[in-house]
Amino acid sequence: MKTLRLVLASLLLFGIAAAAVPSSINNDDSCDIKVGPAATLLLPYFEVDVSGNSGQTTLFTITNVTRYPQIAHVTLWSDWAYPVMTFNAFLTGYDVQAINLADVLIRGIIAPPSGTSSATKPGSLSASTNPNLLDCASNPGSVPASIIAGVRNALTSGVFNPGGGVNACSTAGGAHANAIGYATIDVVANCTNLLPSDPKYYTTDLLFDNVLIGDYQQLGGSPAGTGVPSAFDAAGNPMVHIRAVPEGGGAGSNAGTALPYTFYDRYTPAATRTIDRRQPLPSTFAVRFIQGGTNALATNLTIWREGITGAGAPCASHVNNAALTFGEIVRFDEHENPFTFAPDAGCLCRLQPPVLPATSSTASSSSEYPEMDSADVGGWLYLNLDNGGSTTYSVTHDVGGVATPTNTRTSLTPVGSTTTLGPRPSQNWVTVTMFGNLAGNRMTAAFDAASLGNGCTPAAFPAVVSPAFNGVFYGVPIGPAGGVFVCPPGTTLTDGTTTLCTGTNGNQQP
Amino acid sequence: MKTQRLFLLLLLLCGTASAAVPSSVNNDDSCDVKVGPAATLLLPYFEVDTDGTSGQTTLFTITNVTRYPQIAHVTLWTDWAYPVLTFNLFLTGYDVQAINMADVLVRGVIGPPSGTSSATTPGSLSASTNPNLQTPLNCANNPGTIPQAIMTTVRNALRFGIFGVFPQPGQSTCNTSGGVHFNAIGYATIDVVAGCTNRMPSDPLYYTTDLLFDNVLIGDYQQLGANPAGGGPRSVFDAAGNPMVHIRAVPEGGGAGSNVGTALPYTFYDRYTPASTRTFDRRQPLPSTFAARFIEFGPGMFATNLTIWREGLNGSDASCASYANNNSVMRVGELVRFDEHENARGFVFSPICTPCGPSAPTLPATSSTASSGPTYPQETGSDVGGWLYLNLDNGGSTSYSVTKDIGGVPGPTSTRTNLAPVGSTTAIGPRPSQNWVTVTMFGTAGGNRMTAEFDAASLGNGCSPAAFPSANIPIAPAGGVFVCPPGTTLTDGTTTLCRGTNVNPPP
Repeated sequence: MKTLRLVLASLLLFGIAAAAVPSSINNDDSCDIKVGPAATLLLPYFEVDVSGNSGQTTLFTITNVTRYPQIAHVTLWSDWAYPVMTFNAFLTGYDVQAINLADVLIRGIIAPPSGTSSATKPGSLSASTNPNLLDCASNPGSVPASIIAGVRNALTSGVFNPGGGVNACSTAGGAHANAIGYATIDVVANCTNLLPSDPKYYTTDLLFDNVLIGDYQQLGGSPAGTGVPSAFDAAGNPMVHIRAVPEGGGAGSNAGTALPYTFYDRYTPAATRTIDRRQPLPSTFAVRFIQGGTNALATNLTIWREGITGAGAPCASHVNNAALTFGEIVRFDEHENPFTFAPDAGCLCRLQPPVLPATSSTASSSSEYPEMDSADVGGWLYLNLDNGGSTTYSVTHDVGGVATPTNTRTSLTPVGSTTTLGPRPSQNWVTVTMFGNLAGNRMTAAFDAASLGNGCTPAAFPAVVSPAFNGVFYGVPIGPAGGVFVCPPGTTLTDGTTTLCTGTNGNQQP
Repeated sequence: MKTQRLFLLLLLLCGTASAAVPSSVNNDDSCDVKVGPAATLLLPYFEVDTDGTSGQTTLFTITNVTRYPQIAHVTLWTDWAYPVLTFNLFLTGYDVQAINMADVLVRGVIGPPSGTSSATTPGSLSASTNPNLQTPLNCANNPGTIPQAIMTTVRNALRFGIFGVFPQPGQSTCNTSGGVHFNAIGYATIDVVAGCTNRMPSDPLYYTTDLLFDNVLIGDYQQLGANPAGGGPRSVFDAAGNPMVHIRAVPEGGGAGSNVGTALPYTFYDRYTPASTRTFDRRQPLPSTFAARFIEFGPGMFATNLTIWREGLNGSDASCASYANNNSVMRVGELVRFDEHENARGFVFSPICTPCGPSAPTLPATSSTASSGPTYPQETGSDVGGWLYLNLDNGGSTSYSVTKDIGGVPGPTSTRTNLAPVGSTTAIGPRPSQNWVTVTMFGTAGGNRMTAEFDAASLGNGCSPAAFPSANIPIAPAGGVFVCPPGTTLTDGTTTLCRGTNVNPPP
């Protein structure tokens, strides 16, 4: 009961902030993630059959929408967020570059036939130079087979030992037949080999220009788990477009930002944790599913999750990224019946649902999600993917007039929220892939889940429901971040009241 | 030369403003359109085989992500932006409702088996009432089926442009309401409203009596039986899906009829809103410039459809004839195709026409066209891919408005503003037009079929000024490059090229 009062008090405090007038109509000036030119692209999941037998692979394409040449720094990470490979794509003005990850991981070829470099002849509308760039004359078009074998091993068996003086790690990722991981693509100033897990990367290489767009196609995707691919399915989606806010400045620029923390937070230098200025990602999502029925409906939830290992993390600690907890999952069927993970008998505590690694693609019908005890074949899932927080995370806030990072509790992690450790919720991204047969025809569709807040939103409170609680919310009802109803100053609800005007869209500065 | 100097001056002025510090970390507080709870969902294109033989149809699904019941007001518009049918979906708390457009258009069924109504038993977590809904609530008798006579009229409008026999109350007949095509083609808007109204969004009264401002709905769609436009091969039954366009109310909230100020210079429903309160709906406006990737031809039989929604020119009191004259043939600001080797070919304003098209291309309010079609500059090399710069500004209209500070009071204007600078692709009126683009790619890879659909990248947001022809200002994200925060330089230590900005000027 005390917790409930605390939650309500927090809501009322938020409610006061609801009077805020909208303040930004500018470009690249908010925490919202949209599909538009960005400084970092996140490919949240890739899966490649490295045997080459099935043809299953992930393609992605990067486009430079400016006339100036740019360098896209691609990093491949394992499903436990261990960086295993980096390469650069030199893009002339208005260049578009497709990468087939099967080319990279099986054949060791980057951008066939001969790679990309600053020696490439640009198009007639392209500028010949970019004052933000340094050197990029000798990008490799192919990678030695021994190195690629090491990368493949890391992405399939979790054992990373490429030789050549590179530190080995036997717990770099999970074991699976296909190579699974995620990729980040940053705009940088030179053709560096530094990884984003190295703090030096941010002070010497990273740029802040929102100039790249990208999309991906997953070929040969199939229902995860027990699903049977009856056809060669494929689907595509934009990559996650993460903008620098504010945009611009040369390599090493340390400009302030209103963002309380950033996408690369856990890897940035200790004293300048927001130096990358990349927008943070949200933690709560609403995602629709279809499963079962006569049409063999199935849904994969592809989920990228921020790990908890920071810069300099030892090999062994990446196991911690293999089993990241969830804040909460509630399944609603088509009749709005809620399903959660049932608590132990007699236990009024909130149980932790299963765990997921830094990136995964799982079936909505799998044990990772609450079972649906009805005949419905669809509905939606509320996903609070906050992993509970970490002291490797930071938030930068005002301390005596100076922007200072902290890894202790802030207003982004109110007491009672699903973040129990550290200053903020974790970052996440969710895409949905639906499969089915309709009148004998195959259907596949992929699209982003809806985020219920943005990356600047405080951690959500639990909304656990179960028979133990007589179907009554224990915490804060599920809804858009900040809750409903939001009432601008001077307004009432349609019935003339303001009692329920407890929602807000204001995200408190930490 | 004088014009060029003016452009440079504008750029420098803009560049000065780039020093602004980021100002918003809040939710629902910007012009950016993201996938998140919204007050209006736009289904930018639907296509249904109303003969029902091919199975081609559009499914869409709406979810209420709050515990309070909501009413989703669905309006179907022709491809010339003529509204032809409206119906309401009563959603209990946390409800999800799928609509198969073939059910609606072929069988006249909404929300089978028996429609949606406020008499529906809600789930255990749902609140029984919503103080934002009207009292008494008139949603107990939402129709589950629509008489076939009405549906015949609707089908005729969406297939032949003839809206004739049984229009809904307040509507007139119109035999130029849309284009002629075998399938029913149009777009849909879904608004959160306070009652089960029959009013159309084209009626100004809709905004002051019915519309709500709560960002509570999410939605997605699937196009079944999609195939390459313009005679492309159709070897299999393709399907693709995408989120609908989530248009938020900024600021959010308040009851029906709330007249709240907004920082948005204009809104999604601008041309239909009451004359003196043109931003009444508070819906985010949509952008005008996009970058869309394409693949076409080659051994993989690649093809790309560009599905483009465009804001029409007609306002709330438009005559029937004006739909044919205005919304069916809206010009395009500029189109430039870049192949995989960055070779550029453009239409209209570009000096790089090689060759230029015979005339400026036009598109209606919604369409799905092949990237290889005559609408777009032709690929002349051997490349099978690249990207298109799309400035879809239709040139503007005096039926559009922008609300600006006039003597200390916000007031609408339909004359030129800072959002339509001289020399930009907006030639008339106060702002660029609104648009949305999705890309559907088709192909075969290793003998297997591939279909993928996704949103194109917008190069600015709906609050960005009209773009200039690329002959004068290079193609780039809105505001240009390079943007340099205060106190920074470019990597080479210079600031000469720091002319970009992310600041959208107040109108």
